[in-house]
Amino acid sequence: MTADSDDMARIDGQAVALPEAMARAVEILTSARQPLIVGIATDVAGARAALALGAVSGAVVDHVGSEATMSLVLPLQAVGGFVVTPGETRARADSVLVIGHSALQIMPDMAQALALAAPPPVAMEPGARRVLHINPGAMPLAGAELAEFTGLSPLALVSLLSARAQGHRVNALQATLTEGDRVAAWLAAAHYGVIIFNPQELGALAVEALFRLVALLNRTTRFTTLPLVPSASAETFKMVCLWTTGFPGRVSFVRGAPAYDPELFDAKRMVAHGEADVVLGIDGFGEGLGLPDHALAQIMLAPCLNGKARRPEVFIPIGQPGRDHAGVLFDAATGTLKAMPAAAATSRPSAAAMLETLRALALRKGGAPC
Amino acid sequence: MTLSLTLKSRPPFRLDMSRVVPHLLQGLSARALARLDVTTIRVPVPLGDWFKITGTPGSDLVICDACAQLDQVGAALQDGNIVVAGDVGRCAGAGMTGGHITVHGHVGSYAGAMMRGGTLDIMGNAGDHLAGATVGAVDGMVGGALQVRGSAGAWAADRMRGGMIVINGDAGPQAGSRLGGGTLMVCGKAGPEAGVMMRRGTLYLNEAEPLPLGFVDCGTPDLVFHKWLAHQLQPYGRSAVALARARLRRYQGDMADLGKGEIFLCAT
Amino acid sequence: MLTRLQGGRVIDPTRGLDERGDVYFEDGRIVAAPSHIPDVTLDAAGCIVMAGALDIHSHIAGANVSTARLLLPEAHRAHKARPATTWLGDIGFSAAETGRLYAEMGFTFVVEPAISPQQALHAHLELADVPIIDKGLLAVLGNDDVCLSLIRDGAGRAALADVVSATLAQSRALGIKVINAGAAAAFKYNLRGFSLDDVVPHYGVSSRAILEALQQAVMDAGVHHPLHVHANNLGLAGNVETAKATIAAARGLPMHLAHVQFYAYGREGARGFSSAAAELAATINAHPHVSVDVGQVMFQPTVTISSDIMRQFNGLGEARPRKGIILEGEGNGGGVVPLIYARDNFFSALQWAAGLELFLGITNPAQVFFTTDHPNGAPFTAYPMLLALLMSADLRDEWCASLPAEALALTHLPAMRREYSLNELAIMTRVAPSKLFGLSDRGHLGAGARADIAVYSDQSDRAAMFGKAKLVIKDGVIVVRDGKARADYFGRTLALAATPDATMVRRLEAHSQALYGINYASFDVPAFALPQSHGFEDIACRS
Repeated sequence: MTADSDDMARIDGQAVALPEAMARAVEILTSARQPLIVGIATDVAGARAALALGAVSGAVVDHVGSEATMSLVLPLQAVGGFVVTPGETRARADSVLVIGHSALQIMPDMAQALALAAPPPVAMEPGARRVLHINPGAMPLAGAELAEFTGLSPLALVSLLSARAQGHRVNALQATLTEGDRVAAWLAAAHYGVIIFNPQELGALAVEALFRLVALLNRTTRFTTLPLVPSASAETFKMVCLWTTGFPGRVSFVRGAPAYDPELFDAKRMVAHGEADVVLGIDGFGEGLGLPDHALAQIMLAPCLNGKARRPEVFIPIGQPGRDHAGVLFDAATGTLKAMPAAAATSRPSAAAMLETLRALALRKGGAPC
Repeated sequence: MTLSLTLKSRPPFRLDMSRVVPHLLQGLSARALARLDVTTIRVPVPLGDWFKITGTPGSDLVICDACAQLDQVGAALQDGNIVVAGDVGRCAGAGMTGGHITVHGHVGSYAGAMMRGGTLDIMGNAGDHLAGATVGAVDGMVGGALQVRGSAGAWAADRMRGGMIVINGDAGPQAGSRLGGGTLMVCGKAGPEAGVMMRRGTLYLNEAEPLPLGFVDCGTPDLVFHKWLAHQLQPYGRSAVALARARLRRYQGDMADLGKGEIFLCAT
Repeated sequence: MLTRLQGGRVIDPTRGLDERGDVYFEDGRIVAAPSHIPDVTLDAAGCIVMAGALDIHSHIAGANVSTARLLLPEAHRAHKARPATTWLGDIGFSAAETGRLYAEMGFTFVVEPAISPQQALHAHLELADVPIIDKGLLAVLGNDDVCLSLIRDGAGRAALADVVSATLAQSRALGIKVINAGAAAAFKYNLRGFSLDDVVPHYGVSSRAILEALQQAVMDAGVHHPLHVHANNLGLAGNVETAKATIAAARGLPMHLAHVQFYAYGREGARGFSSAAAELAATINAHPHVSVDVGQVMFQPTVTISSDIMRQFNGLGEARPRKGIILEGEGNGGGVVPLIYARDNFFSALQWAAGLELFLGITNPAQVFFTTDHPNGAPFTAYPMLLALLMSADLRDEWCASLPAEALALTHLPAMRREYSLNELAIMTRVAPSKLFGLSDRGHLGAGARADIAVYSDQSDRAAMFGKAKLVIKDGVIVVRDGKARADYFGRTLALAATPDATMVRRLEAHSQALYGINYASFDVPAFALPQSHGFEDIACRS
């Protein structure tokens, strides 16, 4: 694909005028038995518009990153938890525990961003920050103390620490036990500790176990966690979906009012079971749609056509938020939403503008389910 | 009085059967029955489009030629009997408080989830999260009796707090995870991480992958209770009785959590 | 287009009005009786006509509210299936529902009272999606390093006032709230309790010092609304002493105490927990410079959303269902803990009675504000019933009959026969709140006011009457008809037009970079970030 070709809307690969492509997209969407809106790698406005389009078209709406999102959401919904912002970690944490190999992949500049080498300025007692990295794999955090638990799953690791923190017996090799006790003692010596991890690497159950461990530690000292989110657009979508529908994602508007089911409204599952007959994909950041290879998005909104993917019936070019146009996105550095002006403004329309037009057209066609 | 529903053909989408339970059907005319909405897609799907409906609504409901597209069969059942010939989908008997459901086939995920009473009898296999908790719920099954003649998927009895489950076959990973009470019996083999994060309650396992490290060996106590239990288990079949009669090694755990649960594992 | 609202019983305490009459409006404003013929006439015969109501303290948006949504999907789902009977069934969980439900009760302005400056953009984005009503927010200060350091270093009044102005300008807020001053910071140093004269470790600053400094700074910065105070020791037995000490700490200057019902407890009785509401009401009556809102408890399951993280952490054990989330941020953060207030529960019944005692015991309706601290005492959808309870001693007797006698014996409620008049309700929910925020064109129906009007069909069932307004007019547009709201109208977000001091902004930038490694401007709320349906209305500071 040349850059030029990506500026044109297309039907079956043929460049067409935008209104024609929009009309076809609405035709496909409103005649669907069960439409699915996926990807949704976009900004706040795009997420909002995707949900609004979902509501009028009776669609199921699922973000490509929701599998990662759910490994944090499900434990929070089950037992709750403790979370802190990156800024407060940097200012306060005298003890930082990083678990797993992928944390640094998500946050490669962790040492610098959290000023790990410097003493925490507002800590209870002046002194250097203690940093411990457990199971770092090939990417140990520079300057950190290391601990290795081979052969233990993340869940078993957290279980070991929880049991030893309570002084409970466990069934483990002596070497594992010794190392576990060392880490348990390290945890107990913290004044304000923060555990950094990638929820997806640990898995929902280990994250739940970790929140229970943190609750336990908070009986005597202060501890919290900094879960790292791999996709800014996934976190953005989660936040918008919460205030729009009351739910964190994987919602269906089939019956008008939103319904939430992380298993049933998993786009990948629905496609695999043939439960969705029309897929509308939004990919402002090249995150893909996360669907099986055979799956076809009939309607695709993206800055460019991915040469490898199968060709959608309708392609609608959009800009990238924060580059082609201004937008609001989750910002990992602050842990909240941040306004981003256009870094290199172009005339490419936003996903929100295109989705809002589709919604207006669908409404005019009487596509509303109720 | 019995109402019979026979599925005409396998629908290309899921059907939501939550409105099709005896206490909601009392007094409905044939026309009203045929109009019951079972849709999960954008357009209304009336019951009569997919089922041949015969008989009169009463305490008994029979569903024939069922398939895995049928969700919520017998969900929130209060009393009466439901007999299903064929498979069903998700959430069979979920949240039921009484009555009896028998499925002559397989069930999907979340069968008997959060059930509070009654009996659920599954002749075939069960999917994941048998008797578990749907998202956001703190507790899974809290009462009643559930039997799976075949095998169960992952997370069987997850977050269960009361009641009795017998799986005559195998159980997938994390059987009895986060258990807070009640009893789960696996007469075949339990997958990895059985009983993980268990707080209270009891698992009986005929065979298991290595238990989580939070379970500590407490020897092989000879409990009179197990003789009584074996007697009580006769309706659940020979494999259940045999497991209760076997020499059982007791493990306490999960020490990562409260550590007041127990696993009885067949001592080989 | 001139519209006449004809023949209703018009209640407008600002003009001493309670009589049958007409109200005219044109181009979104109330106008005096005109000489020309109206284009449209709306019939209000048999109706009560008031200005739109204002709610000064209701958690309707922001990170903590969304965390509550995240924590409790089961509540929301249960509601959809069985709306009338299930818990949290009417909490108004999404932004769209919030605006609709408020409007249908005749409310036209609501303040979200607890937004961390770092979360302001998120909150404004949510508020922008709340339809119909006007909105505003309070920014939270007092547990953050900037304030604590300045107070410790004796930086002086001007510096703190500059911080207040800069925060208001950046967060686009209407006022400043302090939440358990110093306690959120102290909790991070592992303190588990915190009173007015306790000192934040590391900073050596007392809660009282923070309170006094911020109270002064808010006045110096020209904020209409006095410092909005969530005091120490919320919910604890004997905490009436804290409330009285906090009122004394106001030193005769304006201060607003939030949800005082949660501070109206003594230590009498077998359980060491009693109502001290009478004592607190008497103190409030004796201090006219202090205003309060009640935070009434009503019997139903709910979720508590608070930036008082020390209190929320300590309350985790009482969570029903058994789960909760504690978020810590650069200042306060927030805690979300679900709770059940039950009729047959001693503590719930006592809290319910204490709240009503305050409403009935505080003599000046302009000094006590109508809140449930949504959703902490009850969802705002409980308002109509609460209004009915205030208006009828008999109705209160009916409720009392089903409550534990042990609890009621520790209150004065059964003996209190006062009944609020419609005029007093209009003062409490219309006149006083608009004055508290310096909004001269709201809360009344005089010429020049915004055409924000609630029309209720007069019926003896006051709960039904206030639950579904017959007509609600917002900016001259009919937004509710026969209790049903249209969803396609959007109000504005009110923000104080504060002018930040450039030197202080540079200082805050340097501080943010040094302490947090974050650009201060990351937390800006630029107009381009908000949807087109959104508009700010700038409110001039007090000169």
